[in-house]
Amino acid sequence: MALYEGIALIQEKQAVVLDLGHDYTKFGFTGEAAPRCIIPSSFWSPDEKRYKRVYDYKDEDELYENLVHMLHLLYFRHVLVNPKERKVVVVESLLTPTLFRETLAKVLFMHYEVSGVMWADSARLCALTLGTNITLVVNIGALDAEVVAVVHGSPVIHAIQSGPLGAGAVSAELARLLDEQHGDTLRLTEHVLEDIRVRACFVPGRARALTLDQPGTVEARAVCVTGPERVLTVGGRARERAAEVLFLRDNEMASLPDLVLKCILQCPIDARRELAANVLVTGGGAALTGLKARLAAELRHLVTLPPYRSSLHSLQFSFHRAPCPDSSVSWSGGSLAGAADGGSRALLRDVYCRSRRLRDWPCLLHTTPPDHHHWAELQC
Amino acid sequence: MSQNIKILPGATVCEDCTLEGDITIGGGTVIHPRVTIIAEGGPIIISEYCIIEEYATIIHKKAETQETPPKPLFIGAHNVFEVACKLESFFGHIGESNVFECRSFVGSDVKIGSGCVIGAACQLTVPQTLADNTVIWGSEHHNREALEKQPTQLLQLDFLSKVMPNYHRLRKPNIHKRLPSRPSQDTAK
Amino acid sequence: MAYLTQPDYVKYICSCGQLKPITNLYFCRHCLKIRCGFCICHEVDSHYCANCLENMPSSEARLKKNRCSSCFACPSCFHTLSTRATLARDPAGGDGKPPKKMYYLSCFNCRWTSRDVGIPDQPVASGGWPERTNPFTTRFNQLLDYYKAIAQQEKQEKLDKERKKFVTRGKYINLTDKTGLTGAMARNIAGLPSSESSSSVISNFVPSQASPDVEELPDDYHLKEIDLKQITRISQRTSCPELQPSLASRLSPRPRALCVKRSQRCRACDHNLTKPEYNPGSVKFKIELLAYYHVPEVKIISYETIKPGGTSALLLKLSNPTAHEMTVKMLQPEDVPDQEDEHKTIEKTLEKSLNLEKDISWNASFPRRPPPPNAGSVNLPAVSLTLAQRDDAAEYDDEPPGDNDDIILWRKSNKLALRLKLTTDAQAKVGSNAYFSFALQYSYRNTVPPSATVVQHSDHTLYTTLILDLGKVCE
Repeated sequence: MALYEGIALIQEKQAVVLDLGHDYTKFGFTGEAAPRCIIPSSFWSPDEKRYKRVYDYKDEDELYENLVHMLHLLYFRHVLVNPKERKVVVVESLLTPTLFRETLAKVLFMHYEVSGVMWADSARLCALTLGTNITLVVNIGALDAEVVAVVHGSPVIHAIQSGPLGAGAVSAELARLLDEQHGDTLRLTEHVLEDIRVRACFVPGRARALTLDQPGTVEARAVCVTGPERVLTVGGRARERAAEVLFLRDNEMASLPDLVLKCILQCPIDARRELAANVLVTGGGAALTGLKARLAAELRHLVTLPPYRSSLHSLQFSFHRAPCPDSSVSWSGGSLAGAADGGSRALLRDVYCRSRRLRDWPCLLHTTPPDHHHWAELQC
Repeated sequence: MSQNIKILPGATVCEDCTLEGDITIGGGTVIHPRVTIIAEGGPIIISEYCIIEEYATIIHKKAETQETPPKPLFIGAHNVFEVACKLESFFGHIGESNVFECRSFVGSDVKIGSGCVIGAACQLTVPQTLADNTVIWGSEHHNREALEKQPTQLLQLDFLSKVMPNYHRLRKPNIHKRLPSRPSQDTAK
Repeated sequence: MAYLTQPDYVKYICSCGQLKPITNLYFCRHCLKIRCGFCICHEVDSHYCANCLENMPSSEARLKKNRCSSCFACPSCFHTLSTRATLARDPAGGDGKPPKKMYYLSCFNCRWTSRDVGIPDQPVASGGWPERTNPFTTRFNQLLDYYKAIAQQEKQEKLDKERKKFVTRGKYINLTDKTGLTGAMARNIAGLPSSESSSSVISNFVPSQASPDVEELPDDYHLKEIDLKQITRISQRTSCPELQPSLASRLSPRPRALCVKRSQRCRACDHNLTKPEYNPGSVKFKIELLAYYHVPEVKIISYETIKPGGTSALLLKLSNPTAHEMTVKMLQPEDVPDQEDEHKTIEKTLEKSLNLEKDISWNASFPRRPPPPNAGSVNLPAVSLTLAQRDDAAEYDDEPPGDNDDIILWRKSNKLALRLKLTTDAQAKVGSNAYFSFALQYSYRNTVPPSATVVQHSDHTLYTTLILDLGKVCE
């Protein structure tokens, strides 16, 4: 038995890990500490003569074609292996649209004939990189910020919080501030905005943020960004206020720290203390200078206010540092998960071909417990 | 326009190029054929050891408020103007050891320090000031600061000044005595 | 060149339903079908470095993480770095010794040098360049060992449980029967190390420690002058996924990524469609089944403007790329017989039964796109046309008198110009795309014997559908 397994292990090709983010795609081999490539999630479309984003689709057919092109680029230009007969670990958000998952499954299994796909949610994978039992994962992506509590290896589904507070929101606010500063609609491209956001913007500390609107506050220094069309002066206002949208509290209570606290609030009471003591802030958006410190300060302040004061006031927040750069934390988790069990949890190709169905948490077929009185009906 | 071309001893200037206005070419400088240098807004002074390659264009533009006497455009030593680059400028000073790569364009509102590299096909049209050792490249005009000035092209200059007379008609240096203000470092002639 | 720079006016419908110009299509000689990049299987053939054109065996490429051992890419602009030599002055003022040659890396595009980031010059040209190691490797490996041990333990427990099922029960009730505890669990509860050696990894593992302190920005951060030239762009960060340096001073030269040559394979019959030569310097192929060499090529010579309800003339050029005479007939696209049934011969079913799981079902998973609607129809001649074989020497021969008539404009070796009439629908919208489609029936002589026993050639009648893009419908 053991010998046979050994042979199987040698023959099994090293699986690949795919984290297809909205802006950047991370791709590489399992068991490696860092992805082989981090590239923009876009490809050259010869039909449309432009770079096309993978997420730029109207219907399933277009998405199918986009994914085929993107995976071709990843396999044959960057990682240089045959997709055939090789397993894939797909890192996905729990809130990935069903259409996207199923089309991706179809592309992987049918077009590229991969031997198996392990579907794993990014929150649990982020928690894997720490090795802690209870973790609160705050993932700030390109579009959304997602807060998921992972308690003993399972995400607390009903407590998931998500809001459009990703790097994209910061870019949009930056564009607005720059237009305001120059008194003109500048129509800056996403690319330029991203560059300014990454290199020039920062998140001021809480003490400074409070004084921002007071008269007499010294503005931050301006910087000049040179480009082919213009030399753009990015004022101090734009530099330090662009990320304030993430902390803007309104009646909806939809700011980033609110999302975190709401998630804790909806978790089982015995896990709350541990969750607060094990916060991991990750994702490409979290790499913004000063963001983590500010989030920590805001959280500590907000627990003392209603409606959180009554139940959460005694929480002590502590933060983890993942053993990899912010943007590839969930990828690294996928690399660990894929390497640890040798892909035994993957959905195999022949199984998929028979039923053409993916397990998914919102689907009653997969989540109804066997002792439920509807279980028998669902099985047939 | 008055023609007043001063070529210092040691300069290699091909005959087949357009030189208009008041132009001074320093010793050791090599000017390839088909180069256009137009000093319409005032004199152009090119220092020693510059290389100006084919189809390069240097224009001293007329400013709207012309001063009398017109101020010169001074181009420092060891500058390299590569094939088909174009420099338009008002009076002023361009530093030394700059490289203007092929098909680059530098507009009149750009101030250039020393040791800068303007990458191939970069069109600098917006007003800006390039600090010393700035390198600009690519269509996005990425820039960075080099550690040190670009190395001098002395070997290349030496080779060109030897080879050029074999294949091209040259203009003769017309100033034979050394100018006390800008001593030529060339002692061959 | 026209194929590279111009839009594609004539497109063929691939057997998978995609519309492609003839230069992007393949022709499988075994299935006798047109294939395109979308419906064939791509495979990695050989690894090579595009800079030094050096081949690398795939096992070595895997070991080196798909990176060339001698070429480096600029971390600043991703151009290839060049090695430059300088004469080092001996700091000790060593007299008599000739100055030593020292080497450093330099980028000709953005003038980045290895000296910029303080990498010392090397005494040998080929390298010994310091590699930056991933600072997280140790921790990552700890985690990996930990999870592997857990997976191993889990598997072991599963096996134990299974084995227990078949163990004939002894006379005596043991602990497991009584309490449902397995030995491993009992040991676990008691805090004892379980029997496997992997457990030491598990017990020694230290989870990540959270800290209440987060690195805060200094209070006067907003007043500090920042130099954007010292902060890396996001593309510079992502080009080094291990470190993602945010400061330009932390950039380091990266070994250049390798490229691959791909071979392409028909999914239906697993035969190679293209196979490149192994030598990286060669752009030739060992196998090259391109549609361009097998399918009659159609080019538009000229056409009259397309008006709704009108008729316009269309001049087409047909050419026969094969070495055999070809009979071509033009059909309306709907008259093309359905070829799917035709191929379900006994041989095919046999092959299928042997291949068991070889399914072509992927084709069904991607719905065929209907071709764009036609703006009208092409009035096609009912005659069969004969195209002579391609003969490279014929160009120098005297032209035989062509059999010009009202359809054939001229004939020249393997080429033929046709004069056709287009009828545009009266309902065609002005300004919409004027697409016209027709099908070609052509004879094809397959020179590849289907098996070793059969020697003679086989002749086939094949069909292909084309779509002509004739600009816009005009007033």
